[in-house]
Amino acid sequence: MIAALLGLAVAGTLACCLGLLLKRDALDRLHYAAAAGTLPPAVVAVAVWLEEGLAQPSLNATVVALALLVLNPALVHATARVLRKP
Amino acid sequence: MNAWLVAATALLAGYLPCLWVCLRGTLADALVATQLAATVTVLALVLLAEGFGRSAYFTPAIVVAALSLVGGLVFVRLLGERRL
Repeated sequence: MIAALLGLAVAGTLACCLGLLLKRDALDRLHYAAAAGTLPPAVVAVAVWLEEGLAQPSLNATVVALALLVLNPALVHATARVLRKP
Repeated sequence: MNAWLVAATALLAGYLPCLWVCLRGTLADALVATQLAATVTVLALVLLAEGFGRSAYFTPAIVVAALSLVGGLVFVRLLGERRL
């Protein structure tokens, strides 16, 4: 189960990296950069919770996932505003 | 060797597209690629921390997650004045 979750997280992240490579426009690439900071960290955090239960590593992984979930969109938004300027 | 370390190693392959885009793309493309590389770094650090079984190793991941925002905003602010 944990291996499957890890595989899913890694596959999702690598798919975002592949999308970054295949797209031509910077704004299109930004979509994939943003996506990598949403689902894969959450899946990894769930895997850590399944492995450790209620423990320090689980809380740490949750903090990391929440940090990426909150901070990454802010950065993506700021980047998109700059890229959108004529 | 456990599943966590294998996953972290597999995740390192995500650096290659980011590096390629940084080298071959425009300044705007490189900016986006570095942001994705930072996300890959954070995930790899979390996987390594769990793989080695040391909760203290989560600290760099948290720090990189926060600093990637700061660094990215600095780049966006400075490069935004130029035409990307």
